[in-house]
Amino acid sequence: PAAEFEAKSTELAKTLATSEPNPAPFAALLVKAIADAPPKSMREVVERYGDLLTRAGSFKVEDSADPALAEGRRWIDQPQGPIAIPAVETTRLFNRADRTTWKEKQNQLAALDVTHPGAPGRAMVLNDKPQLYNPQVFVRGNPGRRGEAIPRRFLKVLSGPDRAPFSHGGGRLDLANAIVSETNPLTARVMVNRIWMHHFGTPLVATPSDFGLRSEEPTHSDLLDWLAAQFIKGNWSIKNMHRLMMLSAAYQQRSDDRPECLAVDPENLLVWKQTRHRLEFEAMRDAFLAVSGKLDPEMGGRPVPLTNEPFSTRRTIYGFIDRQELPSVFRAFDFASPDASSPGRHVTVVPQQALFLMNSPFVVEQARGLAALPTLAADGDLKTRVDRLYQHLFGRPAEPHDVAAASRFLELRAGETAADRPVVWRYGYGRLEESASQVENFQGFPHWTGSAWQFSEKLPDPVGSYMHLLDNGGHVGPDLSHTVILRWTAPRDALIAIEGELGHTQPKGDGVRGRIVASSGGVLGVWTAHNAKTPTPLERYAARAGETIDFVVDCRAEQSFDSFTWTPVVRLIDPSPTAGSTSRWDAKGDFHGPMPAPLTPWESYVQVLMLTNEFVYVD
Amino acid sequence: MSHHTPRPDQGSLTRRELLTRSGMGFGALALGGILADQGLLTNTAKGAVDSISPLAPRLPQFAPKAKRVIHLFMNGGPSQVDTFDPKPALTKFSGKPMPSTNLATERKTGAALGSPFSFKKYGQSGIEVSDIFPHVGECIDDICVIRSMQADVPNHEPSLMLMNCGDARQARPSVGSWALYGLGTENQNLPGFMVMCPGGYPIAESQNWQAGFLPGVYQGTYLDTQNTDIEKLIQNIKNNYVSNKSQREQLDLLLELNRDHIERRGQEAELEARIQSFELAYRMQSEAGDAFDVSREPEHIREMYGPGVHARQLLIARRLLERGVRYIQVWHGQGQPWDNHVNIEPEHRKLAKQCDQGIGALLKDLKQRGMLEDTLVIWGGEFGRTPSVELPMPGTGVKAPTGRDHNHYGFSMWLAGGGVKGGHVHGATDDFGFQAVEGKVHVHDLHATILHLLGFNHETFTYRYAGRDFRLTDVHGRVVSEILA
Repeated sequence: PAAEFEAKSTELAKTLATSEPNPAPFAALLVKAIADAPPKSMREVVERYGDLLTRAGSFKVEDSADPALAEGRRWIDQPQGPIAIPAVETTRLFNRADRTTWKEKQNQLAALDVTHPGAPGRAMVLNDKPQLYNPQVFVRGNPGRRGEAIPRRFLKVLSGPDRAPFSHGGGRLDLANAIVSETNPLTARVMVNRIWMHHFGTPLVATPSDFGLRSEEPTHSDLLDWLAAQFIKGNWSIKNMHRLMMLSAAYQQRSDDRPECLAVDPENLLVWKQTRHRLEFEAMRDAFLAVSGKLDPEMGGRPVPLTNEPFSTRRTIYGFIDRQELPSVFRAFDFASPDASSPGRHVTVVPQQALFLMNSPFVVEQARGLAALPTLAADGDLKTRVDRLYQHLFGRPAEPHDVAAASRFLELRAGETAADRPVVWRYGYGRLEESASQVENFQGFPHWTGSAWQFSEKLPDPVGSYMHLLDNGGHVGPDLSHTVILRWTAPRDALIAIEGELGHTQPKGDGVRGRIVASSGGVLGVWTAHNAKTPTPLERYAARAGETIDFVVDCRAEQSFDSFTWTPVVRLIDPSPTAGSTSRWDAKGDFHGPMPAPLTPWESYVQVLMLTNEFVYVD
Repeated sequence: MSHHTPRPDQGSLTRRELLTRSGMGFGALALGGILADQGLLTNTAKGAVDSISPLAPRLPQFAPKAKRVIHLFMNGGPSQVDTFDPKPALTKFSGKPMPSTNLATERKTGAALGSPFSFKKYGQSGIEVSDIFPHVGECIDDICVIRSMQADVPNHEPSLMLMNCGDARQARPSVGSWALYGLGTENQNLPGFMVMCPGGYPIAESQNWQAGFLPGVYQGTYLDTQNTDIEKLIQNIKNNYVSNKSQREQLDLLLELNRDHIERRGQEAELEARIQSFELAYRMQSEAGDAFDVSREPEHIREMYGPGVHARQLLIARRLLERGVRYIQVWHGQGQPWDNHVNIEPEHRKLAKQCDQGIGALLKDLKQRGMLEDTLVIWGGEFGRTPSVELPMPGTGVKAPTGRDHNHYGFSMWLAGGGVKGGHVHGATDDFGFQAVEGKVHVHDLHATILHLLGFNHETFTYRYAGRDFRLTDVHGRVVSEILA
């Protein structure tokens, strides 16, 4: 305790002063430092020792011949010296900043190990603990409620009368041996049942992860036994098992109904027809890539993210599965939960699947790829081209009504005009003189950075200076012939209202001016903002279909410090929106980069064929 | 693969009922056909037909009181003694140690911390509500406050898992997933189980709305309601490559080709269902846009909900409920906003202000539309907070004790509508609000009660997985019949 320190240290100093002098000269020096004047606090002790160590540490033979300090220096320098720190302990002495840096570097190292193309492959390895122990039962799975300790051993129901605890280390080898033991009645049956399920759509035992009392009897128990026996005899070769099943007459049946069979066995228990099945997500995605000519057939390698653009063309089995955050497309297509053991996939039909097929950039990309395949797109009349496409996708020739349907569709689509697909917001610049009531020479910005529209790749640009547009505003142009413009185009005749707020956050300069200009109605409002926010309301305006409403911002007199925010919302007052039509256009929420090129009639035709039941079901 | 249908004795839906309920004409007729098939095929081990139309509306085991649920999740754990459980004794002892020893929670706590908020009696029932929830207070006669909730541990993750999935440790289906599995959803043009959280995920992320061993389609669909753009809310909801008209033409061609395909192969339910799924998706595109567009609401309704992201998401939620979405969970915000270990006074005031007006508006709005009686509204966090002040931990830089620690021994939740008593208080905590002492309601009991209100016996509503018939309530749970209207 601090209060008693002085008394105790005086006592100790006395003892030290009267004790045998330490034979080592530096140690004697240390003792003397305490004995001469009793320290008043621990801090003083540390300071005195520190002082001596500093002296010894900076000791140079050429400066002084003090033997005690020379010895101190040697002591400090030796590997086990008082200030030598083993490498593994150094990180404990880091201050917070150093520790953060160190952790960052460690993470970078770990990331390199995981992601670098040249990093060696790694496998997870389990080692026994040096101290083995018997696991305890957690009552109801609750680690807070410990039951009895249980020796490590195999399942009672599969072990026969003389079950013994495992004897090799932790028991992993014993467990593996017990699982594949020829006397284990389950393993081979479970495995062949699963392989059968994948080939035939229906397992022989309806509950592939439950061969217990609560499961149904196998539909063909002799077949199950025989397959299991073949599996073991074939050295547990899964490939042999595939071959055996796929070469069978049962597997090679078509999935068409036969009235005489249907009458006898409507549930197809006797496997007189193949079950029609839908391609699973992996097979479907691979099939899309395959027909568009893009599938990368390479085997092995690191997992790749599948849902980011540019889309990977690797087989889906190499997709990266983020267990915490499984991309929703996997879930929509019945991918097994990464968190729970799964006896088999559910097969569901939900509209989210259709949305992916109709609208996702991935499917569109494959449709475009397929449409552009030289072998298909080459010249020839429609019948020839449709025929090639049918052969490519369905492995059969197109029938006359298929060609007729294609022809009708392509004609319909050929009549489409740009007005059918209106672009509501545009981003650019133009000229708006002080006195003018119309924007002249509107130009769309040519460069998109991924988050901003700009005059060119450069910012500032020699001509356009800092002019650009972001989702919430931007920066004005250098003069009135380069005023930055957010342009809204009325998709139909409409009575609209506009809400918004022009903002400027710099005390320097003279702020910005915002104007709303309609192509037929002229200037509808003028506002300025300087280090402040100004509401920019427009109560009502009757816009005609195709009319533009421009949000024009310029620099006023001074052209510096002119970043601004302006996120207008155009709201429909009348007519009331019909179901599915837009009634509100929000500059921020709707902000977008370049619009993708529309699908050509041929491309959208090709996409439809890829979406058909014929494409995704195997008969 | 094997699964077991939970509704052995379901009544049958008439075609007309189905059409009215799902409001979707042609698609519904096909679904009607599928449902009829289901009756014939209920006993097949595969449950294949069930999978073909997993979201079709279904009847529960017995007549339900609630047809849809909205769970307002105050993640982080709001303090009961500052919201719905007034404790005069706590105020009296404020700053002094409580006579009873503090129960062990996640961190060390010290003296009593009287609530910095005042309580006021509301409504006919005169139930006291803290002044940070005045709008909710106005609706108190429709609310059943449970002051005796209990969970198992004072930590966020396991308590979130318990509250949402009924099991703190293992991956189990969430309550919403169970509801969707049991009941399907009444509007095939919208996801049946939606989860809104502005700004990002809560702690434990998507596990909170996981489907676990149930089919993936029963998982909650997450929406970051910070966004207003429909494309950012629901994936692939918009086509940026063809006009609406051209897409219709595409789908017409697809329908023609698929019809031809199915005719040659004989009717098969799954093929038919997939044909319909494109029509559903097409309608979903427009219906989802409408549902999320709150600007279609009249001015006075928007004003009633008030400004801000909470008001908007609650208004969206009402629009979704109205359209037949089965289960909605509305989270307060990213992370754990209500977790006020420090500064409980300004923080709780701020958080309540963010959602109080919207919640009050939601209750009134549901009521004026006649929807409150069959909509179950649930309010609460994963646990409550200690009545004792949390002691600052060394090294955190926190000087004065100004907050409360987690508390699973006793906390408040409230239910409204959907078959529960209004203007009712169930259970009580001790004099200081530390632990439930009367009419204890464990989270499992709450789950049993929710299922009961939805028309299910929690002991027989099961799903077979890994050889066992699993329940939301495992081997626990009691229906809290005292709160049933």
